[in-house]
Amino acid sequence: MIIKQKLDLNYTLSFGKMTRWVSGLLEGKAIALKCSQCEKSSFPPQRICDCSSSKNEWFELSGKANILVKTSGVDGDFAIAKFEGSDNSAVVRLKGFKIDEMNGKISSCDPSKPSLNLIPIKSGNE
Amino acid sequence: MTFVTGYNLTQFNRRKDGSSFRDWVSETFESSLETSSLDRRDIDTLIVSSESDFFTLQLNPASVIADDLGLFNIEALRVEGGGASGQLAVHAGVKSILSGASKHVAIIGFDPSASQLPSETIKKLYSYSFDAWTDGMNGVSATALYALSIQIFMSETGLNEYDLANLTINNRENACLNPGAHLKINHSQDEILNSTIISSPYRRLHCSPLSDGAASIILSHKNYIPSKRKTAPEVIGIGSANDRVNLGARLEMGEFNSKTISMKNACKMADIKPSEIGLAELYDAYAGAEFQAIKALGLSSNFLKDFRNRRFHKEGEMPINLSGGLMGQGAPVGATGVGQTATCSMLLEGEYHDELQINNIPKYALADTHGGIGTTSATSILESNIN
Repeated sequence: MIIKQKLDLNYTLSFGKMTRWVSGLLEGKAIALKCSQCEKSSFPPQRICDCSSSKNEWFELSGKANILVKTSGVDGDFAIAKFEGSDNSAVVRLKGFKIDEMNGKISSCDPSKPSLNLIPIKSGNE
Repeated sequence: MTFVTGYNLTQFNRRKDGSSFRDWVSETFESSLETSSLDRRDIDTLIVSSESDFFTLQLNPASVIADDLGLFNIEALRVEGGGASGQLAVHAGVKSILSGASKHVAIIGFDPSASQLPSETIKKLYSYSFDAWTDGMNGVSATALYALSIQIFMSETGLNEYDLANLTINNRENACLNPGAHLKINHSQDEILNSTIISSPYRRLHCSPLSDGAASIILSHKNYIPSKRKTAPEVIGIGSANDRVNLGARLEMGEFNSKTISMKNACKMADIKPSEIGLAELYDAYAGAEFQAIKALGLSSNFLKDFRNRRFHKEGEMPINLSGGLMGQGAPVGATGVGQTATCSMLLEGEYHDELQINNIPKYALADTHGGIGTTSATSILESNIN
């Protein structure tokens, strides 16, 4: 015997300290955390720095990023990219990149789905 | 101190017979109990592992499973750590025995990863098993994250697409000899190299399947081993470690560094070196992940040369994934780590499937599992007790 059952879940998500990061994504801004102790910058932001410090401050990156490695296929186009001014890298969704394009800029996203999207840097896009 | 007196795996596959995960759990437990020659009333702790309530539609599964198995007035709990859930449950059982809290612990892993939800839904849920606020919201799939990591590993080590294809062939060939395996298929290199690209360089045939199934072991304190189970293997070392959850936050994005630490801790407890391991069941969620694991665990000083020389083949010096691994045997997530430990135990006791049982039984075996992209690693070392 088989019974079909559907579960609808309507979450109300809050992001607490990470609200600055999420709201930045919605606006197409790269908002990072800088460690107050060792001055390393993280994007995506890390609550605790690799140096173990929990003291940090928000600041805005330029939003430009260099792609280190890309993947594409039926699951979509993604990459690991290093944003200008950040000491770590980020996994990003690629939008409209050609095979040889390796530089991009953060773009705004659907307000209902905050995501880290990268578009290629072309003239008029910079 | 801690011995595996009972073990079993159910068939791993996509169930179409109307059975439920609670049936599979009962089946595997009763079989393990029989192997152990214990009575259900001897079990004083039940530990279950299942990755997600979304898969089972059952919160607090330990409570219903204890009831189904006729286990009452005992400690019953669940352990969860993504893909590592099963091995972490084994560790929780070992710790319970070592602390003196338990004499006999039943550990049961299960998940209906194939038949209860559409594969697209499972895939979406899996993306929330990374960082839900970054990778999850981005909609990046597990395959894409593994694909990014393996590309870095390939560029640093010289691993190529033919190696990925040959590993796929090896594991699925082993699966063909495992009656309980999900994907018993002999692929050609061409078939693999021409299968659909899911996330480059990973193609459809490089991926492990979504499976249904359950696995169990029974751990017993050395002072309470049943007289019929004097050859039960011993768990002599366990280790676990984590890494930054975001791939981009790691210094070495192509390496599974949490495994290195996990293995170091397990070897320290076991007082052995990685080079003494004689067989291993590794977490090959994707073809490349097995290579990343071999290197991180220190099982070879030149993993590529050893692989190409067939050292890890079933007739090789140190066979890996004789079961077929996740890629061949299948991957009901919560059952995976428990199943790996059960498989190592059977092999060390000479009780594995006829065509896969190695005659020259080694002294030590390794079961290694992880959640995320090598984010949560859990490693167990077992010692044979047949000589």
